[in-house]
Amino acid sequence: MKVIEVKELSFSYVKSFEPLIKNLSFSIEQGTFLTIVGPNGSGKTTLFRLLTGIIKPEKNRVFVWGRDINTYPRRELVKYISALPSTEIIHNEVLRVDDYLELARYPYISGFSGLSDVDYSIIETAKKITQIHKLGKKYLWELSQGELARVRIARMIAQDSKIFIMDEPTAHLDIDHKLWLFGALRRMKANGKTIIAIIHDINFAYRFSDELLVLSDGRIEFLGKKEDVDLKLLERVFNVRIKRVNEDLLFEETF
Amino acid sequence: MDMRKNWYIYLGVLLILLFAFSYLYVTNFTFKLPPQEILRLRILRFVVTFVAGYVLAMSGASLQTILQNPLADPYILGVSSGALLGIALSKIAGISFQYAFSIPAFLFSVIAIFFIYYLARVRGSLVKELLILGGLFLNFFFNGIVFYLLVLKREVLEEILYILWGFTGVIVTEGELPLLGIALFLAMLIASLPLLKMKELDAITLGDHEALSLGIDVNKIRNMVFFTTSASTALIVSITGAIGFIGLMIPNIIKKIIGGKHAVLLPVSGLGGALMLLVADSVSKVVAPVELPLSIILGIFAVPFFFWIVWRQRNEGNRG
Repeated sequence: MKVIEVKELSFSYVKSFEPLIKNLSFSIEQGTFLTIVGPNGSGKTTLFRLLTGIIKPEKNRVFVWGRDINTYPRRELVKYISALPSTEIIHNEVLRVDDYLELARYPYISGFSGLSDVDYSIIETAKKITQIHKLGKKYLWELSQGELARVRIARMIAQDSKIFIMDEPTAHLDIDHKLWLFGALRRMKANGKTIIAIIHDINFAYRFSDELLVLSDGRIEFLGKKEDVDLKLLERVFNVRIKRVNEDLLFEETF
Repeated sequence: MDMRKNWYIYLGVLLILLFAFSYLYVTNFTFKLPPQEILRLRILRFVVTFVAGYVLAMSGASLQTILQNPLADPYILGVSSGALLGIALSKIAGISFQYAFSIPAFLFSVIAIFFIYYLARVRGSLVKELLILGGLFLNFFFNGIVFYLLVLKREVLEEILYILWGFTGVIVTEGELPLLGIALFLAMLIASLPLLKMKELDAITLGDHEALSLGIDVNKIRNMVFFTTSASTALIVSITGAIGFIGLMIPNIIKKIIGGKHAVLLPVSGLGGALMLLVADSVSKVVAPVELPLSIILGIFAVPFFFWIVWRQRNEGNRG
């Protein structure tokens, strides 16, 4: 089942400029763990925004569950796609962790009715998985980067969507939290979720995901099982020399 | 120093202050009720002042959330001066029925807010400085035209001061009283509509992208708030002229004291705005030898306040 299908997608913020995303076509199967890698400015974040409908692509370019992403009401779309944009909520003084997690259930409540017991138990489970039950009463701005990352993952889990798409979820994280995050994502994949993550660190991407999408200058250089990626291609895209040692990649500068 | 846990105490204090001050206002600080005729006038002025303060503070609170800018306010963004332009044009066109002014006033204030919004939006994100600068220049532009138009029409010359800077001591005939009542009621109702979307507004404080990811139709909410704030502001401006800074100051104080969740922030800002405007109007009536326009008095309050906000923002960067 193709959960996301992209057909000849191009995008630029300003029409007269060279597009940031150039004529991409690809599809993603259900239950995949895909990481999107590429150097700075390759269009990763723009692609993230297009795949999550945060910016609207042209008509009939991006399909979610076989349906044009633009035809979903926002509330409906997040039942399919749970998006984690790169953090912008650090200084929020309005909401506590519990308020934030309750908002995760927004698509499932109607009108004036509050959350149901089912909603609360889903939130509790998400808190348990991410080990944040002690943080519920804290305001978001009081959290450390590591805590905030866990709270946001909990939000994603509580949304209970079919596809999780994340923009650099490991940025600002210490190594232990990075490892924890990839472990958590693998478990979610095992539960049937489709995971798509933009990861800056190719080594982590290579080590933990099943498939790689290598983006360079708005074009796809490679999409497929990570074992099949040509190291020469990665060397060219990232401008480094690469050696494979067991499961890991080692990097050397080229100059 | 989490004051927010005891927010209902602060709400209680606010309500007591509001009641006490309302009594002082109506008795003109003499503690004696005046004769019927004067009492009627005072109560009328009290109601106009109360509603104007309520509407402007509530509009400021919703605009600050939707534009993610603590300096957003109908006056600063040019919404009020847009409404003024509509009113001045109506006056020039020879329309004498005051309550018809609010339609062109609404038209121009809606144009103002959407213009500012699209001006400040660069590649999908809002540039804070452009929002405020855009409002500043829109104000110069609208006020310039308004001034010119009103100077042309000599019989309104002495009103200019009060139209441009706000005055709640409106004079209405017996027959117009129901119309005034309806206009004030509508303004209050429309300004309160964002209360229906308080969850969505809470989510928008997280930023547009995060709110979208939570399933909030941010554009829809934004357009709604733009319409409710400009419609209610236009109604108020066509009754009282342009009153500034209430929407800037009050919501920020409320956020600081009892928190920013909209279920509380919006109504409490409304009440706080009413109190603040009653205080300003009392200063205008009692302290100054001539009745000063309200924006002048509020402007003097607003300057130290502005520095406080800038200071807070500066210190925000040092946290964590």
